[in-house]
Amino acid sequence: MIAFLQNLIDAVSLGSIYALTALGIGLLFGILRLINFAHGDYITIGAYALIVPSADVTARLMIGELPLVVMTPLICLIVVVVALLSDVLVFRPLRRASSPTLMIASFAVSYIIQNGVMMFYGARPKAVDLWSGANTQILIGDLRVPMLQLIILVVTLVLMAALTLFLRKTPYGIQMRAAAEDFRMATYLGVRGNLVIGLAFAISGILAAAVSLLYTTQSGSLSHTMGLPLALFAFVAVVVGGMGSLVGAVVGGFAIGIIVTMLQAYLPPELRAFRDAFAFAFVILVLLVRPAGLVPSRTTFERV
Amino acid sequence: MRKLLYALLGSVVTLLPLQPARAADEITLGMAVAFSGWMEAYDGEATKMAQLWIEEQNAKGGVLGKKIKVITADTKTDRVEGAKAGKQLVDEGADMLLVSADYDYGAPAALQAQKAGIISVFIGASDPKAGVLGVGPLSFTANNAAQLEGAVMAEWGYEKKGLRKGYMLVDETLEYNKSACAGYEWMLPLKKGELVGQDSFKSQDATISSQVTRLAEAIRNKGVDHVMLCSANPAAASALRQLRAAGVSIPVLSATAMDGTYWVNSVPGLKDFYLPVQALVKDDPRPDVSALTAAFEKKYGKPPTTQYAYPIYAFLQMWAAAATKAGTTDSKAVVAVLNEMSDFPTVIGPRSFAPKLHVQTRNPMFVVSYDGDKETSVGEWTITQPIPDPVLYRLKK
Repeated sequence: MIAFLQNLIDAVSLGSIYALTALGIGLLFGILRLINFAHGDYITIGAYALIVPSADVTARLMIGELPLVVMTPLICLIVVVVALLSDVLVFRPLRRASSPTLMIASFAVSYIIQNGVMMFYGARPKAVDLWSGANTQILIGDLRVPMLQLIILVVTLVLMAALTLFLRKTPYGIQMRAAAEDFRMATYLGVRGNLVIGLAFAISGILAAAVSLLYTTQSGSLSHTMGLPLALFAFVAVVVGGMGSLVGAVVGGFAIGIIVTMLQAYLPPELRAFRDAFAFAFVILVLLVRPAGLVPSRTTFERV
Repeated sequence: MRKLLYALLGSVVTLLPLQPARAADEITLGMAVAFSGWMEAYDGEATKMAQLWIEEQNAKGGVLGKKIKVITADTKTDRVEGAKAGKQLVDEGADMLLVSADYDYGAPAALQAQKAGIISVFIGASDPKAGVLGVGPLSFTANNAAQLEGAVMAEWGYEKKGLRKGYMLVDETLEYNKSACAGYEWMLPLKKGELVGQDSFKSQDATISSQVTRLAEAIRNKGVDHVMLCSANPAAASALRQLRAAGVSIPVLSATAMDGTYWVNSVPGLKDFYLPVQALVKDDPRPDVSALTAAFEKKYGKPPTTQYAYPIYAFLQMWAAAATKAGTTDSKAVVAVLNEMSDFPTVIGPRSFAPKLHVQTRNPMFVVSYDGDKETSVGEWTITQPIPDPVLYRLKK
């Protein structure tokens, strides 16, 4: 029983980091029908922004050394600027392009960011020690509850709630939802399309920056491809949860985290290497039963 | 007139590569390695070390009275480009080819050399396939087999640290990691140690929390007294950070891939962490190695980051001795001498080759211990039994 509870805690904590990433990808998809694979690279940028830009093998913290209240907004700002730049330079000229074209463009953005990071910082992975104070645990009997996982979970839930409130209660949020529902109609009615989309990119940048900080605290290492697997699993989470639904993205993130962790914990050793294959088989199963995802979005329903 | 000019220019350009680049009184050494892309971080220092050896050797009069000339081609961390780079250097008349430090990335260039009957050497691959089996009889690797690293740690841990009950944590992403752990898994029972459990992860995994949970249980219930972590950075540093953060404080052994101190910021207060190296970048007990490090630092402004810079220097020493003995740089003649070399004294210790084994499998290694950002030698270790072929080629699982 203790072992199962422990696995559940591990699963939820992995799920929350996927959920946070999925939230950023899901938001952009909801508004722009853009599957942004560069989202993982926004995370990479946020993590590398912590250190002094140099190709030296030993990384030195720069922004990462500042107090929390200064560092967090600064990192968010940097990632938001990168996200907005990718919109202005790449996605805005492609506004009328089809979804597949946008997706391919996002691959290109991802590739450019990765190689840019490699040019400025070198290819050797970097090591940073960010907030190691958060890497402690609370012991409840034999149960180990990592402090950092609690933090990640709380941040995920808070950001999801804040985003939902923003979308429901603020004028910009309402414009954003209108744009998500029917972009052309919304613009006819006076919604400024580029502003709304820019706003969505900025928010996805903030979400990516949050993942950067939390994930770097957990792993302590940076590499130019660090965001890639996160974005991949988060994308799957968005699909499982229901494309275009924010709650769906979060639910999907937790579902993927739980499936992967439980498979890792309970598969026999010789099958563990194929864990991801089992996980994706489960995803296919979910989609066969619920093609629109676990929490289908009303707006995407009729379009697909 | 303009047309004529273009035609002339065109013919000059097309004729250029056909000019014989090779003078009879020179030896041409080709370097088909990554000068760009992510492999550059790993190829770069060994390539610089090779340049340093060539400079020193030329200052001493070269090999067989001939100066050594270097030609290079960038593999761009790409296997297809690697084959092209290899072909290009072979065509330009290379007498020997240095290729990338990894079997997968170096083999395409090495195969070009093998096809042309030219000796090739991987500047740091630890896969025994990087040689006779994977490329051909004229191919070598400057490095030791990854299995040796695992075996050294198992035996040293048993004898020197009294470590009896092991737990293997393997990052399945790289063959290197699996090979290092295969060596550990082979040696531990030979010493009457016990492998209590094992688990795997992938370097892309966002967390290894469920692996930590299983390990913590094995420590609590089955008396595991050390962990063998077979992984490479960045995953390795991240795994170690997560292990220590979860309160796993027993000794952790690892393989050479984690050498260097560039990653220790990932694990605050690092201690009880050990791995084997062929040379120490800082404070190597051997004066010759320290002198070499100093020469490297003088030429390039900073010392090597890891021990992977050194093996190619040792190989080039062996190659020069073999060429001198054979009286020629002809690849087949040199390889015949290299194949017979046993315990040849190189700057980093005795090295041997055999006709079927072009990788080091029994050289002494220094075990280093970490204390924060300090990496210090805690003694030299040579394994007491030769690694059998099924372990070296991981034939059974």
